[in-house]
Amino acid sequence: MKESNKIRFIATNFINLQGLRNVPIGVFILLVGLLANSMWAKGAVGASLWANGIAGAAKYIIILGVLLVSTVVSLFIIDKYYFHYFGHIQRTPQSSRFEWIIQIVGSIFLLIAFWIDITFRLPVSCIGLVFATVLIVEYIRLTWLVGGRFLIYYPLGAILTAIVSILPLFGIPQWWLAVGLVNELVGIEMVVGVFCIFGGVWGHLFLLRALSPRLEVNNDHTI
Amino acid sequence: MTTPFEELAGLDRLIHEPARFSIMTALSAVKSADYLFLQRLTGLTEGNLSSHLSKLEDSGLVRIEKRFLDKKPHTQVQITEKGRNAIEHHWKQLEILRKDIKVWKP
Repeated sequence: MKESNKIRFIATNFINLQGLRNVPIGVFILLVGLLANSMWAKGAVGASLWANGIAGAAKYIIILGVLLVSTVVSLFIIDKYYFHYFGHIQRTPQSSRFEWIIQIVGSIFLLIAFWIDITFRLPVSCIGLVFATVLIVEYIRLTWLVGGRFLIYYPLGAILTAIVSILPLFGIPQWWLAVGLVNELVGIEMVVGVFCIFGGVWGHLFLLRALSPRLEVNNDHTI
Repeated sequence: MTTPFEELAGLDRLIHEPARFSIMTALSAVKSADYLFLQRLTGLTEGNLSSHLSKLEDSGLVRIEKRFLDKKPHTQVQITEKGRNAIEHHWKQLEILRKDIKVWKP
């Protein structure tokens, strides 16, 4: 029974378990965070970005463009890798629909949280808390078949992000300055980027173990 | 009233065979899967997987579609409505059996 549940779990979540896809996304988030940090440090944000005309802004736009193209190319290559070495599945319409709903609702809440974070000076990071909640919802959705035995990095990531989001509330204000970042938003972005890379590698290792080429057990009693 | 052992003997052997049970379980969780994915998941050799899929196809439990992708043959397998009902019925039977065996007294 447990083995059958594991088969259903892998088949249902095959695309989610292709963790290497998350690595270039995580690297992109990290590098964009570093770029934003550098821009903020130089005061080159908002209207100030255009203070030196197009030439002043072009450097940042080109870097961002290169990062975006590199990420898309990496995703394309990783997609080919999974297709050729692990095969391909098509999700059931219900499964796809449910994932779309979570992504759309999650994105709306993340946008609202982003607006709250940049508008009000709260002692918590709303975007971090929303991200942690999305991770927990995703974890429950992915592992309901196997009772949470796998993908432990989802709740770990959620706990880490939630703790970082409420650090100022517990008397550790401006923790981001201690790690060389200009504000909390960039700090949370860095945590999300690291989670994507770490979780992606973890997910990929799980898939490698689960779908490794095995020797077929000789069964002379095959019906 | 049948004993759990009689119920066990009455299971659909076409689905109950471990390799075919794995294939059907995987296919019931997706819309379709390709040959490579099923091979990686079950650990079967190409010949054996092909043989099991043929048996399932002959019984109308799966539908096999062969086409060319980038000039390479690509086999996509999809569970049929009959196959979905059969695997769900089989799951229920196994669940009932498991419960019956727990309470069964000789």
